[in-house]
Amino acid sequence: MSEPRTRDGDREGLAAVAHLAGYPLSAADLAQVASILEGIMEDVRKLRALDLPDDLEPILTFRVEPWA
Amino acid sequence: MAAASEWPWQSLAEAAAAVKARAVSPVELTRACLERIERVDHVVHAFVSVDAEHAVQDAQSAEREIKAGHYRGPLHGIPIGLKDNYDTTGVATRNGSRVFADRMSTQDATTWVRLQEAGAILLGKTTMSEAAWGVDFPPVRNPWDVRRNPGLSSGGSGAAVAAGLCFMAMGSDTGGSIRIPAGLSGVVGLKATYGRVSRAGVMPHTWSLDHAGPLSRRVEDAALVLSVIAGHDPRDPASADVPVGDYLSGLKKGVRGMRIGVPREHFWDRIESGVEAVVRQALRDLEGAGAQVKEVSIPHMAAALGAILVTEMASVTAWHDKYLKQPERRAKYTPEVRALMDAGKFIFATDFLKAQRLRRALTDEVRAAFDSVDALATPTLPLCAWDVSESHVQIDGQPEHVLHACWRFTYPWNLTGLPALSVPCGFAADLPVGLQLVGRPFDEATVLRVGHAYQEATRWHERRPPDPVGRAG
Repeated sequence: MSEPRTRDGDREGLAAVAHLAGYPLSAADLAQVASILEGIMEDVRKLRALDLPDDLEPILTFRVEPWA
Repeated sequence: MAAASEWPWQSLAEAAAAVKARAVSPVELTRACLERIERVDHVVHAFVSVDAEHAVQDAQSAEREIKAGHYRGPLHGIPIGLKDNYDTTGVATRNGSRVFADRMSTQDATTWVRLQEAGAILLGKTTMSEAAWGVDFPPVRNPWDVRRNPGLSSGGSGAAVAAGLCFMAMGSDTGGSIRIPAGLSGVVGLKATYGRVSRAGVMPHTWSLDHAGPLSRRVEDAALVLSVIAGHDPRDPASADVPVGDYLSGLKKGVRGMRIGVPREHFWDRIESGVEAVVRQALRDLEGAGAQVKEVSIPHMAAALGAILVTEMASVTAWHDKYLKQPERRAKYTPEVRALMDAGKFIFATDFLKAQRLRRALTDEVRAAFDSVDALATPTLPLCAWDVSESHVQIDGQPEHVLHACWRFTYPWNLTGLPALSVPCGFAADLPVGLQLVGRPFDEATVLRVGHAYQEATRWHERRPPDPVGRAG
């Protein structure tokens, strides 16, 4: 997790998203949430940037089976 | 048999043999552990609750049974600990949190049911981080250096075993929380295949990543415990109806001719030089024991952190959401953990689904790597135990949050659900280092066999931490 560099504008945007999503949070809570999201975004961006095959389906119910 | 003060330092297997031979009684073992807890746990804080009276009563009962010729097996009369997220009727299960301070379960965790049936004696609940999510609450310490952290959420279980307070303690592992404290505290930690050990009655963290398993002082101890707790459980929807293996008969067959794969990517990118040197030597030791060690490639490994982050954050919040909505309960989460749970509300479904697609790709790549090897070997962690006051560490000259650093090498095996074992493999700057061994699905026997061969080729498992009393910083 990298050091937070969240700007006031980011927090205002997050407040609007939180309100719309039905998760209204106090300004103090939003500041902490913004800091955490900032810290994970580099890894989330790497995930988003992956060029996965079109036919690769998500594992929606994780179960492990023996390999043949 | 050793003197009474030495009993808590015996392996579970050694203690079991002595109990069976009636060289020591369950009551003597239990009292020896309780005395040691009394002497050192005010410094280590490995246990969050100890019920000495019940433990001695249960030990007396075990003793009577054994004297009457009803020996149940290697766990009969053996004192153990359970992490504070294992349901136990009659003892509060707090999940390390004030939110659940008064939570009394009405049914025992399946693993605890099986351990009781095997005759194990519960000393108490081991300390864990809040909801298996926080980093420093309450202040459990590493027996090797009580200024340092013993690992994340199962830190109490690792510290209890390392400090000689019990013969085995159960932990839970969502991204490494059995193997991380095992690596940092110089003990053995086993996360079996997802579905191999029931999670029923272990408070959920992340449904698709959670595993239950033992921390112990020897590989053979982990094999003995797995023999008791493994197997299908209708109470756990993810429990696999796959025959349980024989974890003991092949344990001592060695590694001659076995092929051990070392992933080229990810595990050597950012690692403390002292840790890397110790683990590279461990790989040479495996070669010296007759294994063939070779590089393998798992290209998507390095991109998997984002996948576990979004999976875990969304899942934890989904489970805790009903408590977060209750103002009185919400206020009882520590601000750090509450913020993590609030942040989970802002994980997008598209990212979550891409994470689950990556899990399939990663599993396919790992499976391909296993075409040419019998097991994988990696460092358990890129660093040694850090000071409890530190939130960031320097690795390769770069600052990194401890939460980010400590699970980099363990979480891939939660995403793929493969069995993984951490064994002590040496010391860097006088702190323990762990070697992680990974196997095919449900092939815990091979992982344990490699771990045992390494253990027998070295003597790291025989080292004891210094007496922690008077060393608290």
